[in-house]
Amino acid sequence: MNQKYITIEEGEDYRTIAAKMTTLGYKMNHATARNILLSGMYKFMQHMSESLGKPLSEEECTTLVMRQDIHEVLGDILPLCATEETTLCPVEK
Amino acid sequence: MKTNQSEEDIELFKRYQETKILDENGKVLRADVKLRNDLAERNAKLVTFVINKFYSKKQRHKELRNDLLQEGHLGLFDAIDGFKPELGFKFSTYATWWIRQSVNSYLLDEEPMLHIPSHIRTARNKLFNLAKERSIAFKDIGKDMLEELNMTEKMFASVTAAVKTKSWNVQSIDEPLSSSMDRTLRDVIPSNDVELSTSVDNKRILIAAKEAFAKLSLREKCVLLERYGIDCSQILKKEGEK
Repeated sequence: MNQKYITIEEGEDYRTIAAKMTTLGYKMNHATARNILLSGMYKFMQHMSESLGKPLSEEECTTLVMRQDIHEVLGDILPLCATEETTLCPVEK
Repeated sequence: MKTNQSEEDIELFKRYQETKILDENGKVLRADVKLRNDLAERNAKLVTFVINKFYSKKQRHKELRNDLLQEGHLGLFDAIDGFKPELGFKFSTYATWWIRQSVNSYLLDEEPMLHIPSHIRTARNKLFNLAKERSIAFKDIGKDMLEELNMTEKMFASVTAAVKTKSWNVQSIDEPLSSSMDRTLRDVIPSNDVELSTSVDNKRILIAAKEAFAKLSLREKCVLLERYGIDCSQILKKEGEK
């Protein structure tokens, strides 16, 4: 099955993202937003697996990018990447 | 009132009463100790009788028999101090109450590892007995039932709080969970502390994630962050400054 869209419980939909990105100067529609998101995630996972010393194959990355649970998990990690946060587990605080 | 008490006993009690000097609260300040001991010796069998009758069935009571006998004797001394022969009642009737009170108080003090005031424990026992009589659960005890026991709602709240804390079932965390198991409570209690290895792994993952994120283009970064509801204008600002 060629699944194109992934729905996550919390977060913005592709049309909202496209609208926001357009206002920020990156003109795009919802399909472009989706394509950029999926390719961004693909690259992110590839780079990350290389950094951790367990590189993923192209096939593995393609499969993982289309999994909803991976999207949910990345939702915990990605926000920390944009901040100065140095710990992953909130219990440690 | 006709009693089986010997005239000699009554005479001794009367004599003892005359030797007593009481304080303003009615407590015995001074008395003829020799006479009191004599009376205690004469009625010592009563303590054994009470212990045998009321405290000989349970295993715990059997184990504590010697302690209970001693506590019973302390109760007997209180009974001797407070007994009024002129009222015409038998000493054994009066003393039995004192002996039982003394033993019960000792047992209540012994039971929980954490101290719970005796009046709360007594109230708790009354409530449990009531619930048992009515064949209902402790939580189903209503306000109307409290009135029967002359218990206030405040007292009921205190008892409920004490029961909830399970102060009666205090257990050492190093004690085996059962006689056939080596595992202790410490082994099964979940810990909120993150293990060192997990902590190190988490840091490694985050560092790798930050490195991977830094390698993405600005457009990809923004779309990814917007997807999770994070405003990316800050990132754009930072990148613009660079």
